[in-house]
Amino acid sequence: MFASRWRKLARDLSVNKMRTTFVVLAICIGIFGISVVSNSYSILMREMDKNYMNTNPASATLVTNQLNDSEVQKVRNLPYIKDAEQREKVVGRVQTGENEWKDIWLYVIDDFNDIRLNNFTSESGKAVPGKGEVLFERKALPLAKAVVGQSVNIRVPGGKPTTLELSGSVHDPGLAPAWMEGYAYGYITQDTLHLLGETPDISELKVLVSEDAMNKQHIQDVTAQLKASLEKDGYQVTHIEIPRPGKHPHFDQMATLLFLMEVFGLLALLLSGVLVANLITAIMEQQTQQIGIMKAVGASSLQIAGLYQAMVMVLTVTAMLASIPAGIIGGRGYAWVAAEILNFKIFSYQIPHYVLLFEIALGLLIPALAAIIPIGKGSRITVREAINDYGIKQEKYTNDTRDFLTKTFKRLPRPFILSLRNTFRKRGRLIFTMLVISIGGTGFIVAMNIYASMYNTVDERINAFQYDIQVEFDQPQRPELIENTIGKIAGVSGLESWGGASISRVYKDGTTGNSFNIMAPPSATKLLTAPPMYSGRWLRPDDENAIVINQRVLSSEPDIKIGNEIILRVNKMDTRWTVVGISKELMGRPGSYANSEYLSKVLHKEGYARNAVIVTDSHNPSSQAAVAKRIERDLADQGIQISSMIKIIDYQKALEDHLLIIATFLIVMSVLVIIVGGLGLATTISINTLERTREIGIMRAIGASPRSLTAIIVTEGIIIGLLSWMVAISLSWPLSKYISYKFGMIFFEAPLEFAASASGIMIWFAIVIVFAALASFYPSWKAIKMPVSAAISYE
Amino acid sequence: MSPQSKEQPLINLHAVKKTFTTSAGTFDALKDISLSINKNEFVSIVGKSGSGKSTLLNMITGIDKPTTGEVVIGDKAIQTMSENQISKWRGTTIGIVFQFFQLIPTLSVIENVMLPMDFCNLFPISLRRERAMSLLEQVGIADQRFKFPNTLSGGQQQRAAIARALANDPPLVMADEPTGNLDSATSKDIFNIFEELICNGKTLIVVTHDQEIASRCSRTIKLVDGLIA
Repeated sequence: MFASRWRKLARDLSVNKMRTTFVVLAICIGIFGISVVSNSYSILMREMDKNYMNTNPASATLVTNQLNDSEVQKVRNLPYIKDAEQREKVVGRVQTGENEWKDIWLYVIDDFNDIRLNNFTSESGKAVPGKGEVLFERKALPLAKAVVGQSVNIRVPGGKPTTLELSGSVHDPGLAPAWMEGYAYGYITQDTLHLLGETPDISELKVLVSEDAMNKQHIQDVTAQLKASLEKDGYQVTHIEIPRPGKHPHFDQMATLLFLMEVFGLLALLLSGVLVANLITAIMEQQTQQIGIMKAVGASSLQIAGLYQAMVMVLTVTAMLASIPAGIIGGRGYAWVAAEILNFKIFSYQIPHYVLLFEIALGLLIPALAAIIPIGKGSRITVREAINDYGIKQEKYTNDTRDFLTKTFKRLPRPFILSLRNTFRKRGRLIFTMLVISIGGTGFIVAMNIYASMYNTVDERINAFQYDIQVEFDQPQRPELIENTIGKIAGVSGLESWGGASISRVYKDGTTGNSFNIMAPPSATKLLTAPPMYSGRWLRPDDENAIVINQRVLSSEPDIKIGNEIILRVNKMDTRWTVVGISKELMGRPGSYANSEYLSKVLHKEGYARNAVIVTDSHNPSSQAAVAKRIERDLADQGIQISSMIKIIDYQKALEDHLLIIATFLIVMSVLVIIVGGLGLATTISINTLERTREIGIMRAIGASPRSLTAIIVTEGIIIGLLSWMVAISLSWPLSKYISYKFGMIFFEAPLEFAASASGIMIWFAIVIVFAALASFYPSWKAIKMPVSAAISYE
Repeated sequence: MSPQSKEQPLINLHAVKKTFTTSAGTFDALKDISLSINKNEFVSIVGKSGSGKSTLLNMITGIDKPTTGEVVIGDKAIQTMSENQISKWRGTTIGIVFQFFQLIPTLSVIENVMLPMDFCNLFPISLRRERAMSLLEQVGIADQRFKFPNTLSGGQQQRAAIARALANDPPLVMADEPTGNLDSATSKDIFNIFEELICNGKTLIVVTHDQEIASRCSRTIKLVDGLIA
């Protein structure tokens, strides 16, 4: 048999169905938010690691000249090496349409039946390509507009376009998705490489260390030993690449996503907590007299607090019954979407028990903690205070406040002044209400600001390019020939010939770092303005050995500082350069800039160009595509081979595609915040109005018309909405700046170019006004419809 | 009046003063009140509105504490007890009947009566319903036990409130204007119940401005401007 106080609890909940539903919804939202985040986090991190580790990733890659089989076997037998495999990588181009080509990375594998490291799995068609056949990574198929079973044209530097049969597709989760990088991945045998006309003398030796495979320092020590061993045998190691041990290449993107998810999950939880606190405050205030009676008949403050905490517990458990399963579905759904976009497979959607226990514990704790203050305050009320509560509180409304409002707004209509006074009457409640609405607003505006900042960052980068198409030649070309060929094409309105080369940093021990390109516009260029700078300065016309590197170079060469002198190997020559600036590059490859005059002098290639940058008449994508095709054709007619062609419009699209997953997430979060924030706003204002039913009854009894009462209450709601909107703008500013900084650093390795979203601010303004008006209108309309006698006795 | 009651008063107030501070200034609701009430006495406190009747009742029930002076009920000095101690003590020592009945609207009549027993745990759980029924029979509304307060008449609600006040079998019952909202016939019934309580050994203090009710009590304390007249 239940004690009567528990019966009271149950009936209180069932009597106030609307209020109960609001509290349950508030708790649901918080638990759902944190549940989706933690569930998807646990699935994604586990499955990403699993996908990556299933490939048996190499601990390090050593760039060497071609090793013979016995040398590779010797490396495998070294005690500190668990396994080794030699593989070549050739960067070529694949035809995607008439005079349309995309870059392709071709991996040349000696024996497809004996892949030891960096494994991939067959998806469709043949698992082993024959001579004249190629396999594509599954995400490269749409990019290359290719279908398994059909043929593709591939060209490698120094070779001719060759038709290969696309005999199968594979899933290679160790690579960044093709759609994201903008180039395709193919897998061929040595025989096919010979067909393409390529005879590489550079090879990649991938090795897996025997012990401590997750320790980068150990891997560095082991590869240093291996390098010495290879050099002793007469081989040359030009570069050693050690990826972050056990970290998937998409780890940073996933970390960005998870960072944003954590922010919004916590925001939802915070919103939920404040909403619960607000609703419980309302319940405690409404039940003041009953609390007084219970205390008068012997209840202690602790018993009263226990009763209402039990009420919160019942509501929490009810909310959990819906939100935990919904969070599981949401978390799994989100993990599926992220995995699809980032090209890895989810082997199991199982959520670890400890994650569910954490969600349950947090779900139980947050509402209980949020309710502690209002319940503590409500249950400590004395019997005298409680019994004397008539539903119209005699607040400490001072003459000073009244005088201030009256003097300030004396020309305004009296009902409006009354609305203003009512708004500030219960300051504690006002702060709570504003907090709920402001958090919702802050979440929305932050999401919109991040969205705006992302695209502002892309725009700022793109705006530095004053040209539309960039062409890189296989070999240096005479600018006159380029101008005669490209300059005559219809639709081309501007052209510059730039220098360029592939360079790599030379270290003290003689090894080199990753190679990267140097772009060298003429010092008087009109087609490139200073890109956004991470630090330092942009090039000056009188600079000689000055170089600006992008922050992607910095991430692999973190010791470089502005003003440092570095040695760069260009065309097998070691040259000295001073780093004057670090520019922001958005997901592009590592690269650098220098003045062409100086670079040409260093290369002894004065009067030659490695790149052409072209301005088109029309910025329409189809017109640009037509011009690009003409450039490809006319250059080919002149016997000039292109190693790459980039349309800025494509680059912009690739950047935007990279941001797609984040943008989608932000849009989803914005919509969710509109729902949650709107619900919070509607809930708190409705309850504020409901509580004043008795006061409304009294005002009607003394002659207030329904119209004037509605006007007063709706105006109050709108004033609260407006105040919270202003608070949300103030809160969102520093928060957006912080998140955009963190986001940029994780995703782009450089802070975002911050932009405030005017549309976000205005959309939230409209939402606040509409929701506040509706939320206050409905309960006031209900109270006005109620007979005066019923309204006066309303509890 | 029993012989023991003469030896040891149940209620002792000594130089009790209660001052309220409002934005309009300070106001002395009670000025130097000293009085004793013995066990099994039936006392009425009368006076005009604002004379300090309810404040005096609040002092005795521990609902409020004196600004200065002592309030001793039995062997407990109320002003020295914490709010929680007072609640527990009040639940077992004093039954309060309010002018507006103050029943919990979401509990049935019998549940309202069982509520103080649940809070104070004086009676075993298995006996509470039976005891509540017997109290409802005593006040004559046992047939209304499953109804909710808003479906009862004023008189029935006040009977339920009296049954609730007796739930923990307190030696002292205090009633604040118990007939203030009732018609004369119902008021008479309520008063009969009070007299029965006296016969059962309870001490009863009634705050009222009804001279007729006051005249039926064994003793009347008249308050004028916070002083005993």
